Amino acid sequence: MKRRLSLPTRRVDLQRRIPFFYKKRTCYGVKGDTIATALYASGVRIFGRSLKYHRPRGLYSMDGECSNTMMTVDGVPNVRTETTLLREDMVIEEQNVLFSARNDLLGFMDRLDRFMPAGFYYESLHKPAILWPMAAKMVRKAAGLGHIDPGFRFSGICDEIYPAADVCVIGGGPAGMSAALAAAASGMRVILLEARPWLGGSFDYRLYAAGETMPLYEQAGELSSRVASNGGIRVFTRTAMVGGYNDNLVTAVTEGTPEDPFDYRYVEIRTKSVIVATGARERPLLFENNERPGVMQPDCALRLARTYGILPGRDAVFSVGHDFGLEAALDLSDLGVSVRAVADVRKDGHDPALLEEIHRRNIAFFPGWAAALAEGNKKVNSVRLSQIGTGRSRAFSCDLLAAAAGHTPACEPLALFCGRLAYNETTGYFLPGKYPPGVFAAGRVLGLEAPTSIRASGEWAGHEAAAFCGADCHAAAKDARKALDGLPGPHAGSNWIAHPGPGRKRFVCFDEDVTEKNVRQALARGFDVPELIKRFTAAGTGPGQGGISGHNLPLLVSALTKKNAAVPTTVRPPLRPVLLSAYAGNGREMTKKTPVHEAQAKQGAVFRRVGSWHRARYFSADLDVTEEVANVRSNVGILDASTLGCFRIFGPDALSALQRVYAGDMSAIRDGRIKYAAMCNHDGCVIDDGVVIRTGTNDYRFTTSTGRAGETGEWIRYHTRFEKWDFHLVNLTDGTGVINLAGPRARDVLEKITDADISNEAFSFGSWRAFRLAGGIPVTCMRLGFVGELSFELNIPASFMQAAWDMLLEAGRDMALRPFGVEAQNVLRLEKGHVILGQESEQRTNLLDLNLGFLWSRNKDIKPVGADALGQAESDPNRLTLTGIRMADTHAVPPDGSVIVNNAADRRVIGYIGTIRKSAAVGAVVGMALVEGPYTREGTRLAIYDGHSNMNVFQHATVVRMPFYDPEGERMRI
Amino acid sequence: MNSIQRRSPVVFNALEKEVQDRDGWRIVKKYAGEGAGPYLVDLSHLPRWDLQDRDLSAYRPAGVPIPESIGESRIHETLMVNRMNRTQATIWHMAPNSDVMPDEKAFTDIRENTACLAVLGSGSIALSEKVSRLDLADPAHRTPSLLQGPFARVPCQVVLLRNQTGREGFIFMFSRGYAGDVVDTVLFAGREHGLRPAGEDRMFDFI
Repeated sequence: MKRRLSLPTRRVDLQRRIPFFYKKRTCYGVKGDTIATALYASGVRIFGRSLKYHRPRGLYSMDGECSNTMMTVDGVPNVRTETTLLREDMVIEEQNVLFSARNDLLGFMDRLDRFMPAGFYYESLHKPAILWPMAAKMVRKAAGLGHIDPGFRFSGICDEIYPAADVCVIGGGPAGMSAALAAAASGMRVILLEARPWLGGSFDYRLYAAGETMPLYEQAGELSSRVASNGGIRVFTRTAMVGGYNDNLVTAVTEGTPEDPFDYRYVEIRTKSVIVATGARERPLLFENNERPGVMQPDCALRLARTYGILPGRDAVFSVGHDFGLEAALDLSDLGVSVRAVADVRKDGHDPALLEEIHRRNIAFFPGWAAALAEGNKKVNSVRLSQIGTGRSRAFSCDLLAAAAGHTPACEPLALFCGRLAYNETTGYFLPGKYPPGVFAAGRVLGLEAPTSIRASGEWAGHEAAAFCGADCHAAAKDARKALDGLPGPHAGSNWIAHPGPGRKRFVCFDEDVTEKNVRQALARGFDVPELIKRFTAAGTGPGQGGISGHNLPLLVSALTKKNAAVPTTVRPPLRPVLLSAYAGNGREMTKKTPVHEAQAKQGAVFRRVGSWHRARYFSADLDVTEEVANVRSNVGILDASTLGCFRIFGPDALSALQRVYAGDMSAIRDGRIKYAAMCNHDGCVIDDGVVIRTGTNDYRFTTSTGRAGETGEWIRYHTRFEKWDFHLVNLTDGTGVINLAGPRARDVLEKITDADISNEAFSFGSWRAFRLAGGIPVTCMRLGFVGELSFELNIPASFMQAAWDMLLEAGRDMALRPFGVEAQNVLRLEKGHVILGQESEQRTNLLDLNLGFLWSRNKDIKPVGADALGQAESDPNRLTLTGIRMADTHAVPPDGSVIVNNAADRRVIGYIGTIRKSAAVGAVVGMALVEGPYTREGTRLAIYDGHSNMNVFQHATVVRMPFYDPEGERMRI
Repeated sequence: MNSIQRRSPVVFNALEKEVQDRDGWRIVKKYAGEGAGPYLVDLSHLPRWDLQDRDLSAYRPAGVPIPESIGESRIHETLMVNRMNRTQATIWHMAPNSDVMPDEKAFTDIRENTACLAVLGSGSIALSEKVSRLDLADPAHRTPSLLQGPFARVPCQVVLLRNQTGREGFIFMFSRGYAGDVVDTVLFAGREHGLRPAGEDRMFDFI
């Protein structure tokens, strides 16, 4: 199609052709085109098929208010082609069609509407019960919009931005721009959001300015220039608001251009004040086949011509209810469209200047008439206009029917901010009534049509918003209000809905194929308010988010019930369909890495996430870690345990705070000795364990488990909040690298890199020492035995960790020292009977259940958290208790967490396995389990439910004594 | 002692142009192709101390009094003191110096626990909007000032040095373990602003 070249309002660059693929052929658009306009210019009129009836659908609006033009683009379904910028080599496909949109083999569904009344899927095909699963499958196959491949991965770039502002103006039309300029003049930081690629709103493509000399598009250009040169205003174009929340949090999504470094950008704005200047949209006219390709809103037709240089049709009929409709008819006539007739539902109240121009051009004008029927199989080829009240009618052949009942405010953003709408008798539509403090409205969303009024309302709102933010501009706001009051207010409009008739093919909601007849059916079933009808018919629940049906539904319900119009149904975010990828932003998962992460990776470590950390779990492909375990048992290994929490607590009352949160008596810590301790919650359940050492007067260090470190500080503060204790906490976790050097030859390795006396006599099990490694690396070394062997736990400043790690590997090279991972540690400590909280425990497991009652000091001056509950649990013999088990089958290794049942016929659940592994040291599969007290006697036979097979297959284990390995603990003490 | 190398948690994938060894730390003074800013500078090797006490007014680290208001920062030569809350302040060194941490119990050396980065130059504040809800652009901020909250998706202390357009800069400190992901996040966010890794000298030039 040849485009109009010399239009001052044109926004596309006709010299820059953009190729794209549509139905396996190469088509061309131009720079600035949306996908929809490029397709329209290429002669495409049927974009897809409707959800339920597979009716042909074409371009109807230009801002994505319905699903008519949703298509699959580059594999992404349901792309709103009306608003998506055309890019080179896009692959565009029709969706919801069988064969093609033009010749859809499911088109016969349109004749089956009698069998699909409103809410049919709630009650049809449900009996017999066996029918519905099959029926649902068929319904889903036939209906729905685009389909996505479950394996599809969005390849675009998404990012995010969190700007803050004093005033956020939603809508970059004349009112929005005026508001932004007024607010910025008071020194406010202003953000202006505009969904279209440019500012200007409804002025951008219009020439006619009632009573003014400067054409509207020039007014828009002038305002736009002032906004662009104002340093206090940040403009976000192609950015549609999608959400509004408490405390004026505004969310939006920017659609990127090829020049942008992103495809979608999530925008989250915290603002003190909001101005809604989102203008108005055209309310669809209801008539038979009102969504047939070739029927479109006058605004759409005019923008096609003025903005994109595309004539929407050759022969046009207009059926309108507002002066803008007359203006569009005149303008399109001037641009070369043959306007055959203009019908206006209003009998009077037209702009006389526009009427005069219509008569001057000899365009047939029908006041008090409206479209009754669009004819044509797949596209409009004629329209029948009827006189309201008499039924007199005339037919006109045409390929374009521009139809709208009038304007209606696009007030969804206001609704998100809890603004109330009220029906206005003058305008015949809903206007904003009350809205919360800090929220303002301006422009056509207030029902204003006169350009001067629109601009003035923006200035007033801008001043008001600035004043709300604390600017000294109350006088300016007052003057602006006075000026606005002297200008024309909301125009008289029309609330006309449709000619009388069954409304079988009058579509109230295009997305969900809801007709006027469906609404009548819902009413007949007793659903008498729009909110209920919406749910029963699904009107307004499609991707257009009620853009088409939103204000027609309550007006229609009112007309059918003869009751006052109820307000439009509830609006919820997102106002526009948004890719989940856009919400996710760049989606980076933030995790911590230890100081020797890279070194371990080079040594073949396989990492797993533990809490916020990456930890090396294996150092080989052998998931049984046989060699890693054996090397520690017989030789020596090193483990990176830097993820353990590490804290300093100091101050005159540090000991009191420790006494409160630890079950044991912290006053008993001796110099140079380590105290193993556990924290409980009020239920006595163990939440953490670790060791505590005293490093000075009123100065302690303690460790926590990896997953618990982040909460420990708050935990201690919470449980001391009513005390006036003077203590302070410093989280040293990230700064403390920890290497566990373990195995019978651990001392041999360590002795090679330190001059300190680390003999068993000088440095015994359960004690700690501070000394230096070669090169002066400071360490705090603890003699612990979590893995059941001679162990030195070296606490090293993080920046020295790599040097210490390398030094140990070098020192141990001739002893075959090698790193081991968390899984090997898991096996080693299991053999030793040492628990890992979260593995052997869950939130109901208390200290006594884990056989750790020795950690509870009953005679402390300060009662520890959980003491009362522990006291009660002490006398309960039926609690789950930590128990060692040995599998009967030496090869059967049930999964951790497997359920244990009794051997009686009822197979009652009596516990579960915490950890179970094949132990080379023991020569059997052994594990730790929590089992009901009566079943913990040594030798008791337990049945373990095999989750991998059916319910009747069980494996068997016997309760055995723990620890499984070195029960006297001699190996740790050498 | 000299053979032992201390490692910053921050590693830039950039060509080092000028390097200096200092107290076991390997400091990059300049990178090749640092561009015209904004710059991302690793300051993790510089000393940082935590100070906690019921009465912070009793302390004057390196002769600098602790700011009285929460969120207030004070810079004296190359030492910065930030008031975090009623009982806590942090002291950051922005250049190498010989100051030894006071031998008082209230001080804790937190250099090892934290990573510290500076973003300096035009576009720094715009970049910050992409990784944080903290409003560094607010002209009402008196600089320097301390803001605390998520930055690059992790808990941070951010000291805003300046936020006037063209002369912008801030320093932020966070848990050391996050360094790799934070650097990636900030560099990704800063691509459109031309953010490049830069050597320590950029910090000295800025202050």
